[in-house]
Amino acid sequence: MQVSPNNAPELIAPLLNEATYMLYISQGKIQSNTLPEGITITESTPKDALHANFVSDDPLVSHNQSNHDTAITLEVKEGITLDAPIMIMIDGSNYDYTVNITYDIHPRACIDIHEYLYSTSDHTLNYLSQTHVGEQAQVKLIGIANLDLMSTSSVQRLVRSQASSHTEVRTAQLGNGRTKQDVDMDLLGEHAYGEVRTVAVASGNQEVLINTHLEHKAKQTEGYIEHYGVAADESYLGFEGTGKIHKGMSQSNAHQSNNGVVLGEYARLDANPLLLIDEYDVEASHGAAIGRIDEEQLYYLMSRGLSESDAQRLIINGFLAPLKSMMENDVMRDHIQSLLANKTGR
Amino acid sequence: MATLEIKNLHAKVDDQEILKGVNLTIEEGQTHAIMGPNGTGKSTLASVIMGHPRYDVTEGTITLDGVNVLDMSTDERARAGLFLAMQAPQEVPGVTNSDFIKTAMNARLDEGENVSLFKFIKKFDQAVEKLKMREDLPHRFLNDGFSGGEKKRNEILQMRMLEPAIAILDEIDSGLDIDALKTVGQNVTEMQDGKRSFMMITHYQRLLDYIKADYVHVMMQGRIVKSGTVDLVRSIDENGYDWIKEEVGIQDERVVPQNDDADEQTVLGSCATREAMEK
Ligand SMILES: Nc1ncnc2c1ncn2[C@@H]1O[C@H](COP(=O)(O)OP(=O)(O)OP(=O)(O)O)[C@@H](O)[C@H]1O
Ligand SMILES: [Mg+2]
Repeated sequence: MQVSPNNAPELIAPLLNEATYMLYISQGKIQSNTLPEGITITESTPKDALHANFVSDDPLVSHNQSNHDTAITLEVKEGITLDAPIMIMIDGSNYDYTVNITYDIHPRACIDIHEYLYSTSDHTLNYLSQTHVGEQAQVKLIGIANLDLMSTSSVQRLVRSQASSHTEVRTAQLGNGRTKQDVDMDLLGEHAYGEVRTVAVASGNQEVLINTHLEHKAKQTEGYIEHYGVAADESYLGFEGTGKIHKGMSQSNAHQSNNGVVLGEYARLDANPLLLIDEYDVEASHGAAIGRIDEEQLYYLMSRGLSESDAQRLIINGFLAPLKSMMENDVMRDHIQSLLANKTGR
Repeated sequence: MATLEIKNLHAKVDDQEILKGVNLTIEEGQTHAIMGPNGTGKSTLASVIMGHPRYDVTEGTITLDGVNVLDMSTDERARAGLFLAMQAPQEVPGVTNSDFIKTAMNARLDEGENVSLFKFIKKFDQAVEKLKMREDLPHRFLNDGFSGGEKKRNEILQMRMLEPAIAILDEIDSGLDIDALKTVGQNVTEMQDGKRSFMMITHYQRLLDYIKADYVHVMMQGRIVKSGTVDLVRSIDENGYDWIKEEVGIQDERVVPQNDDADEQTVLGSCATREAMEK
């Protein structure tokens, strides 16, 4: 029997109900889906030809590629433009499992995908998505993770972009569990544009590792990595960002920024931005600005009557403004605000 | 609305005493101007009243209608009716003016109560118009990238929105062009309703041409050394501070005396002597 979105856990049901198109996976299988015309879904590992693009030297990636409980391929037909995002809801509660989704986006398609990873139990969720972005396709991939305090998860997203495509990956780590997130993007065709923007909030004694790897394997490609983070309590948050321009890939741009706020005495936040460049005719930059909340700003807000926690909340919300681009409807906005308040509202 | 009473106030920063016994009482409805040369403790006095965490009060009291202000945190002081328009307002990127002021207004209401959005917008729009500010102000980040004059006007806008019982305005006139000075003056005057009290720190008479002050005080060496009416301002504008220094027997008016002049003279002296000897 299928679980309808209405029977989904209370926290995520409204999000599913709000979605025009959705795919809901829980207990290791597809529970329901409403997908539009032009998108086909197959429950299998990706086709070999496509798979070759996603060969990785990360052992965890290869493991998840070959060992999984659920494997799905979503094929988006050439030239399709969707009027609303597709919501992919994955509930990792009550089972240890590995989900593998391949998005095969054909040329000139234009699509927004919103993934929401969720769990309320102390299980392990491994998630791997492989996105193939065809020539001139435009893809926005939003991934929000809200995983339980006791859970452990690894979330990997591989993206391979063909010529003149435009890909934006925006992720938010807002759960309480131990999490490792990898985004690995290859710009394979000339004039491909790729952007990876991540917001992570660590609290309690959580450990969150964010790895972003963006490789320029064609000429005139453009890549941006942006990390925004807050580490509170006794948590650890690590940003590892690498932009790599291969030899001969002239007139490419690789940029990276890291912005972090550390709350309290015991939290730690590290950023290690790396630029590997094997070509002269390029533009590149990287930087990191990590610090505490400015005492003078806090004082200024408090001098108008805001409590310290209100003042701190406003400053952090402002700092995490990139999250706003992930809130495409009111339900999602309220949802994200409440997750944030839970983690930083004290 | 309220009376602010400051008695024998001493305060230090990093073990350096800055305020050295300030006495001042501002009664309900009164406007007091504080003047004095640079570095004599005026802004420090304002910061200490507002509870800036960098300053330690070592002696003396501040009370608001008899209630001890020194026991309150900065936000409690604000909610009790104090307001400080700062000499150098902070920029807070990421926080919009409207979110900020809405939160500040809600902080004054009971838990769970909020200002009505309609009333808020109406009041904000009116304040923007009265202060001749840009209409996109509510959506701009707080003071972020504001010109010097815009920042000052934004302080007065916040005062309009929050309606404090006692407003301290620290050099609200600096950085304002002549039209803006007039606008700010009108806004403050409009808020002088006979109940609200003001403490205005300024260097120039021209502000007092726009805003009526009942009393004028001069600070030197971290204390108020002379008090009077607006006539005092005129004398200062014409003659500077030397006559006051002479009158009260002060040589260096600053809180933290600088010996540089004296040092330079000795160095000069010895060089001159050496040069003279070499000739
Ligand atoms: N936070 C601080 N740290 C170090 N010194 C300080 C601090 N605050 C004030 N002081 C010192 O205290 C003295 C008085 O400063 P204050 O800002 O109160 O002067 P002021 O009267 O407002 O001067 P101005 O007219 O130039 O604004 C100065 O010597 C200043 O350097
Ligand atoms: Mg000053």
